[in-house]
Amino acid sequence: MRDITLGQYFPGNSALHKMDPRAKLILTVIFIVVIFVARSVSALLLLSAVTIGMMCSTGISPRVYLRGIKPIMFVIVFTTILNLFMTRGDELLFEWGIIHIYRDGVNNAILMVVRITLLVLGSCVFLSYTTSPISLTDGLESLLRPLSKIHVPVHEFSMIMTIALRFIPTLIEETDKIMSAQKARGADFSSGGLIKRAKALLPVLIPLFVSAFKRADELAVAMECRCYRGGEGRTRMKVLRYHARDGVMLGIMALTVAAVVIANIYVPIYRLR
Amino acid sequence: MLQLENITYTYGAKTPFEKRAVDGVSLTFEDGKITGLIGHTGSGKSTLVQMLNGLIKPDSGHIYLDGRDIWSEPKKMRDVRFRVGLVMQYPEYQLFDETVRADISFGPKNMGLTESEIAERVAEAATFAGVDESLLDKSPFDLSGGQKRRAAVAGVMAMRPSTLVLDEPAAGLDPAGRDSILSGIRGYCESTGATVIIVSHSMEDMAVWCDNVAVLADGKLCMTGTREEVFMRRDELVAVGLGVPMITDIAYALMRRGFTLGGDIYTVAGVAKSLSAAGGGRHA
Repeated sequence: MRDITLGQYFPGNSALHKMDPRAKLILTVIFIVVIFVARSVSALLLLSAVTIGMMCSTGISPRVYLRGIKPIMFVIVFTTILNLFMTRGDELLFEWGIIHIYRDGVNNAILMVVRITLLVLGSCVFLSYTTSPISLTDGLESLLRPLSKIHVPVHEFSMIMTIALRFIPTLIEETDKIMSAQKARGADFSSGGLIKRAKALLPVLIPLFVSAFKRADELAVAMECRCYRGGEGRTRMKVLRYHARDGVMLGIMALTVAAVVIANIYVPIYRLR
Repeated sequence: MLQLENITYTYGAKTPFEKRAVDGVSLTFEDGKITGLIGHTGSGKSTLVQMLNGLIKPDSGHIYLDGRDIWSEPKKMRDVRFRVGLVMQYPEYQLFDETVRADISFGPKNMGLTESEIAERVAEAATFAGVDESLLDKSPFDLSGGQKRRAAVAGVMAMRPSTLVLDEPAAGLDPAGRDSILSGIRGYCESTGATVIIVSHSMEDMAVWCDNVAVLADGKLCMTGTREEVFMRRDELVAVGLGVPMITDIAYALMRRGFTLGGDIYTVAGVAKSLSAAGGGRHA
């Protein structure tokens, strides 16, 4: 229960921490696109270097990043196996029964793993580790505001997201507490088959739902007590403003994009199929 | 008999949030007695009690239940939990079943008891915890706060644990509810001879209901002994931010002004008794 680091904010003081959340969102989108643009070994090496540089600049311990990768370990292993055995090529490296491994398969597997890892690390370093959930939803709301012209309830969505994010740690804590209480009465969550285990979770899920609904009611009343009436006419204490560092960061990203495109074309060491 | 030997526990080891919650605690809880575990918020009380039934594993030290280390066979931890019943802080949230009766049966059912034995234990636990017969077939979610608390306590008592641990059982209840739940615990202790441990920071409650008192401060055990022995060390208690029951302070003030009060100066009833004797003497 305590290992959920994907999407967890680590307070800090680096340039990435201080960036405007809107700029960071744009940065992340560009970064994700560029990961899929990079097709050659040289381009991916370059992107890895940029990502590692950014990771170092945040001052967050490398161990934290490693923990962030752990939940997607399964996806990485699955992709490796799929690419290794399913890719056909010219140069056969290994053959045993129906298993054929080609040089292209090995290359593809390595490149895909690098891509997925970069994807996760990138979104961690640009967004979730360095942006507090509140400023993230503020940024999102501000970026999506034009959509409210066509009657998309942008403010409501962002409020829902803010509340959901705010209560994830609370719910985790509560789940821990209820599980402990039921364990103290001899509940057994770790043995038996699938059905038995699912049944064993009922004494945890029921109180969890009951208290979540109760909490939602209380929160709604508390918000109304403070005169919450939706986004209409709401002013903000923290107004988002772009700074010079946002421009610098976007500049670095633009250079990276250019470098990746050039590396793709002029240094095509191995190109992903 | 439950014995702690040099128990240590650290939260978030090797992170910036590292905090030593329990630090070298050794303590023996006597059978048939109620031991009050007192300490300020954040003194490590709740962490300590969660170690008593193996919910948390101490970083170092041993916990002996009837002479056996509870961590010697982690696979048999469930048996330990049936023998060391733990009522957590604000236990109302543990209620989940359709009826109060079914909810109180949850523990005994997990123990694999027969239907008739479960029914017997539910009735017994409901009596101890003060859950009225008429409430047993209601949904636990329809009860009032105090009734829910009692139902949750009954849910643990129904396992008939030889050691009963309660973390702030009276927190947030009105005076009547507090007295009824604590007297039910006293009743359980006396009729079963169980070891009972109550965590609290209310000196008044401790003075009325406990035989022994152990004081925790900053994760360390700083005082232990009978109620009288501990409450006599008033200045030390004040130093760790706890103080003595209000009535004891009043008794001391009266004694400074020439009253002679003997015996129990820790409960209102006790002081009233010796005051009426002393007052009668002065007026005569």
